[in-house]
Amino acid sequence: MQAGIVSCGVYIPRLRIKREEYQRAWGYSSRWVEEKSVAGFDEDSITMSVEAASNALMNANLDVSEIDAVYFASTSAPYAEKQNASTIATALGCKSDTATLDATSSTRSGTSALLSCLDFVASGRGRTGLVAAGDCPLGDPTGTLEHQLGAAAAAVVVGREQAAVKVEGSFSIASETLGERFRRDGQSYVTSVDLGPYHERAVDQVVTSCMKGMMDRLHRSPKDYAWLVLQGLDDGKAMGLSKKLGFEDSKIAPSMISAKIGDVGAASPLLALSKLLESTLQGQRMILCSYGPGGGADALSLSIEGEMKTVSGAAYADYLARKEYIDYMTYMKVRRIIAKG
Amino acid sequence: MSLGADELFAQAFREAAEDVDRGFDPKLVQEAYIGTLGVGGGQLGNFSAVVGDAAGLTGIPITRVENACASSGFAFRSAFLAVASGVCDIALAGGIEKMRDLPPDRLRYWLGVSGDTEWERLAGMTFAGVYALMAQRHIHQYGTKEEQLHMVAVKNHKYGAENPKAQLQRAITLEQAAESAVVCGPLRLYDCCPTSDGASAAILCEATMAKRFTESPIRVLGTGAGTDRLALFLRDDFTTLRASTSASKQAYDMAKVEPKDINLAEVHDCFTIAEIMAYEDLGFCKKGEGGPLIEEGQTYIGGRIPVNVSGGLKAKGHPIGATGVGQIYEITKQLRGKTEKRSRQVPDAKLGLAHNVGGSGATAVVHILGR
Amino acid sequence: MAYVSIPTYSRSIPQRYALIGARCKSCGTVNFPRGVNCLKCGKVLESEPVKLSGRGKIYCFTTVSRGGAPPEFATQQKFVGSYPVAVVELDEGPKIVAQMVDCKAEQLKIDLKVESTFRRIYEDDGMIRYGIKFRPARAS
Repeated sequence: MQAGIVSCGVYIPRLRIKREEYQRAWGYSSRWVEEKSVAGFDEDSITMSVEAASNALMNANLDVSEIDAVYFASTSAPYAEKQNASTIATALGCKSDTATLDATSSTRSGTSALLSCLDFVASGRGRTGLVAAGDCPLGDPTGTLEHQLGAAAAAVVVGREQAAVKVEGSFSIASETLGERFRRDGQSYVTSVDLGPYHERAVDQVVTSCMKGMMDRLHRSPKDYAWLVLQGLDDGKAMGLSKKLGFEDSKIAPSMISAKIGDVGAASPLLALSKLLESTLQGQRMILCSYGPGGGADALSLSIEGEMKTVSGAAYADYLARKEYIDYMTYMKVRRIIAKG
Repeated sequence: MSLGADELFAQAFREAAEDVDRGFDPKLVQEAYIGTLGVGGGQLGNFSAVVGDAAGLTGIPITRVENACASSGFAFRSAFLAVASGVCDIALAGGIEKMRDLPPDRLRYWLGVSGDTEWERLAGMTFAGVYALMAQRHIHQYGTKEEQLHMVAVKNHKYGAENPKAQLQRAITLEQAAESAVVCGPLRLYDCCPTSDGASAAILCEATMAKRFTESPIRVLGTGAGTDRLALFLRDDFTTLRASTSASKQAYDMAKVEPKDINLAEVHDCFTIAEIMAYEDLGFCKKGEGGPLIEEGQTYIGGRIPVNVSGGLKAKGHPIGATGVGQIYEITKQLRGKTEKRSRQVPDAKLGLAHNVGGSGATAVVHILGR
Repeated sequence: MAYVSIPTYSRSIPQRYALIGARCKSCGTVNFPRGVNCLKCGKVLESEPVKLSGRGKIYCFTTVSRGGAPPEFATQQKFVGSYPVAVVELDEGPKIVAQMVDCKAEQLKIDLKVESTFRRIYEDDGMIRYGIKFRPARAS
């Protein structure tokens, strides 16, 4: 039994902060992020996911009563213990016998949740599932990682019938890379140990194995794919690595999202996927690859066979355009960095 | 050191007893009703016992009455009903509230308890917000001007400055009111009553006994009370307090008088918009014409119906549980011609009306007194 | 400190999270929130649930500034400043009171079309209390 992607939905919060604010505050900024999105004082990875999920349901023209599963992915879930997906399911108005699941601890959680939900549907446990990945990670304010961390959510409806995007196959790699990007239990801020060359090699190795493994399994090569989404590493690394793997820049460029919203953690792969699928890509194939620092990677081979609808006003470009700039002091208050509010 | 709740009330009761011109032994009180919300970080439950101690009345039946800001208005009504029913001959009604002992956060908690907590408060509003919504609708529906709200504040401050019992004894100008900080638009600082400490007491007795105690008994001619939905947003009309209208109608019917017969009124101006709505709800003018009424000066002494010449809640202060009987105190003084300053004495006052509202209008009680 | 206890809050979660109204079986009026008796006909409310669209228009609003916020919102006010609160008349009939977000002061006016959004409201007893706020309806 096959399962595929029926629809997508996105959410980007309104607040934005420019690179110049970080330059002014700390004297440096990330090369790849011109400005990033910021979760408001009353937003978090759950609230953002609810909106993305609502959009995905609207785009699928699906009533919430048809959803059999809600899977949530994030590295910044509001609760470390107390299920977050159940809040999302309740907010959407899902029926009580909905299967809920939280996938956390990695920027790879978005694709992990997607793969699990596809299995949920393919196995016959349910007919339609919803994957919502929302993230607003926070880095140590004095560290170099913080500037690039943004906020957003993306949701994917998976099902058997009317799946515009077929999932042809997948491949996953488990790896144990230490110090790359992590947050210990009880810590508020995600951090990393500065081991540039060591980590670069690890990323290289894991992503290469994952992508090659997936293409080999399907007897494919880069030329069979019109598009590549590669998330979980910064834009520069992603572009460089994809070139090395044999993909032209034009195949990966449209899915680079961090310049205007930053690194949105577990939401990154699904957000980039959603953005691409808003365009008419019927008849084309895409690889979706997501790297989780310290943990491995997932790759999915997608064949776009039908049309994906996007309700007017809820497209990626619409959310991107709705913005309000804040300064660094406001950022410190809104993200509760200056004090726990 | 400021006075505690018990001392404050004791003072009010003592003053009430000493005010009885033919002499009154406090121990004659047979039953007491005291209004209080319980703000102040003091005794909450069984507050009646605290009152008994303070007033030297331990032993008699004492009931604490709570209907938010209308607590002592309802306490007065209960005392009236006790005497009128024949259960007792002499009753005490009063109120007490200590609001200024609390830090701002705790005080804000108490200010929020009498509104609809589950929805209006959790939407981020205290009463200032709720009354601001009423003001906005009144402006939208009737063309009431923000300036007219400020005129209410100017009037009440003028009279407060002439009332030694008033908390704020400082006249203000229209400009000052119009330029004061916004609290919840369109309501500004001078549109909102202050927080206050205060106590009040009134002694009632069976009508035929009154002459034994005073050469100028003031009769309770009418009492009326009503309720409305707690939440403003669930009411049909945000520009009227249904509880005020029905309470005043009952009181007018019982007293067999009409609004035009009233010589002065103490109305519940927790916010300036509340006074404007009260003019309409109490029948002093048609619905929507409250703004013009204040603008024409009709609610000053010399106008058609002097309102809040004590300074109102705005300038006299609003110790929540004590306000209702505080209004009775003012009406009584006016009807006896005994105000301290002649400038705020309503000439030849025969009939007075006291209007006391709980919160954003969930409860209201009206009394009509006459000499 | 439990200003509004968890059970009290939780009883209205279907309303607070998902805008589930109650259609009175006697008179058809959509009640929101769900009370003991129908808001229109007064009969004891026997109803069927109806998920409201979250679309409506502003009936009235105010901006809560310094001194006007209840303690649950003292932190919000300190960290992000004044906030607007509106009574919204939902398309299906009932009125609801909630904060407005994502809008400039100049946009706020009576009859402005709005739509609902799921947000954090406040925290108490260690739990995040979620609920609905409104923002100007996006052109569609």
